[in-house]
Amino acid sequence: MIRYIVRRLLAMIPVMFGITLIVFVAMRLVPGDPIVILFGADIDPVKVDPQAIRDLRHAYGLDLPLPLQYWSFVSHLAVGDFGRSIVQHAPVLELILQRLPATLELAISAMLIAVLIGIPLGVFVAVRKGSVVDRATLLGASFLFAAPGFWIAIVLILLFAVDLRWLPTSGRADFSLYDSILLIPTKGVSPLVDALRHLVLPAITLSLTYTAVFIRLTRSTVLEALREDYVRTARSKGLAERTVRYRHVLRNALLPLITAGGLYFAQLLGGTVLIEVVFAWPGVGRLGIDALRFFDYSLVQGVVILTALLFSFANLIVDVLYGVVDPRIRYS
Amino acid sequence: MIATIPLFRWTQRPVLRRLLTSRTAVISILVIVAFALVAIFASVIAPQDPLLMNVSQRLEPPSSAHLLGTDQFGRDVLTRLMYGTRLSFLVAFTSVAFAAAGALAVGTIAGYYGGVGDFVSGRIIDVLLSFPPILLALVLIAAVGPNIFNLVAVIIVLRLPGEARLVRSMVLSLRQRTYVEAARSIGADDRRIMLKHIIPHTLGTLSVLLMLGMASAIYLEAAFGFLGLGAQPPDPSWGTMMREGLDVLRAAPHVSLATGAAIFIASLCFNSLGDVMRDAFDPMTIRR
Repeated sequence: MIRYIVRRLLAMIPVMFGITLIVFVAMRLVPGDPIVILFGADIDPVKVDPQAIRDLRHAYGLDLPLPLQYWSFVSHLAVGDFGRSIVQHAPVLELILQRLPATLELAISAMLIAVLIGIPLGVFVAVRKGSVVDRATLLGASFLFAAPGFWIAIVLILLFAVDLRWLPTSGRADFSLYDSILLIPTKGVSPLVDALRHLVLPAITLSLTYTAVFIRLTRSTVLEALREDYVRTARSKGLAERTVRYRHVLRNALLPLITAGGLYFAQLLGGTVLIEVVFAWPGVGRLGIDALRFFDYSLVQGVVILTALLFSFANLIVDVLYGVVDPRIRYS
Repeated sequence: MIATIPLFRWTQRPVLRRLLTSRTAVISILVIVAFALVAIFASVIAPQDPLLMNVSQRLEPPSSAHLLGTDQFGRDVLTRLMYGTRLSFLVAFTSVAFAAAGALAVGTIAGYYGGVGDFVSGRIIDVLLSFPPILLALVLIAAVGPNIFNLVAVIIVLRLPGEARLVRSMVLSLRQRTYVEAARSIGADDRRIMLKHIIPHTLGTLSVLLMLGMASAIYLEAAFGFLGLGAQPPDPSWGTMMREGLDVLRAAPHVSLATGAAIFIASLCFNSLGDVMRDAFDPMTIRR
């Protein structure tokens, strides 16, 4: 398996190379000069000393020919140097790592909600196939799947934050969920309550599509497992239906769910952008959007490349995990 | 793995029968046709001009004069929604159709001939699939500029790689079938084999993807219009209307709610139709 992992990691190198190339070229095509924008010179170019612009452009290596700029970018990247943000005057990696916990908190919470609701509900309706509950749940799942997340976000804000005033309209609490749990002995539960109040709407909104996916996927994998010969054998041995369901059906039905879970989590990491924008959640996605707005090349490059890297690693972990859970899978 | 991908043809009679006896499919088709008719005849059936402003009638709630009310510029929401259907459907349909055609070409050639072309296209697909889709779309839109044509191009770039990979895997399996070997043995050339014996068998699966793709393209158009990166105001599209609706959410929630409902219903119908089609193409799901 180690050989497989090493080979997959090596295969990621050309892919990452391609990603850097696309992002680099795309950012150079963006109309707008970050240095000029930094000076605000797009409003009144006369007031800016052209020498100052040239100096700054030189300092960030933006006066070099494009191939050299790309080489410098990639060679720095290879040693973990993502460069400095032109607008925020700070190392890109530092800026991203500051925002990453917020995105992870949102993505993990959404995934947990989707798994904790989707899987049990999927099993529940699978063993009641064709019943009213089954059909209603499937219909509900189709509705959740089709509903545009940002629209649901608006409706939820309107209902729970504006009308009922139960929850804040946007933003993140002063302490993260993790920190607020650690703070319980000293500050009590109020930081935790505050963190949850801020998290609940964005997490629920983000989880809706995935909850629908898990309900449908669990239902179909459980139905498939129920038709297997080993289930008939287990029943013919006289095992209780409960034992058959949980020991034989669910354990086998969970395998495809692990793959799906991993892939969807990877998707979630890159898909928080819209929800972060609507809820003003200070995560990596919003950092990227703001950087795009200010033509902050290096920051956008950093955000996209790091997210793509996380995305690829998540996919690799899923593949490896799948083999650990199912010993029938051999890596070749 | 490859051999397990179901390969069916549209012309199989049970497929059409199963599709037309499904209530979900029939309702979805009717609703989609209604949306399409609205899109085509928007200029004939819309009650007003979509760009006509009337400040004295700003933010009016739904009434008999304006069935879905008016927006912050006094424009009729129903009219804009009808014209928005035209733009959103056009973006979705064009991008999904071009992506499918491109995927069919790339996947068939890569899968049939293999070799360097397959290797190179495979690595490009690897790269494109390694991006989280929304982020890739954002970067590309920022690079080429936000307008409706570029949005179509970006949605094509997002959809093509995954579909090309699927087509390739189907072709890999198909080219080893006995009937392809038989065709080759009686002297059929590569072009004939691809056009007559391979591509028709990929269309069933691809048409399911087309339906699911329409739903996701409608969502993407709305999402990018919402972020200000798709159609630009004052042009009515579902995305720009969502954006404008957000600004007047408290005073006139009907703008957002009506637009969101349209996106929701269209996505629901395309997804449901795609689901029914997938089941109809799959002999394992025949009702007993």
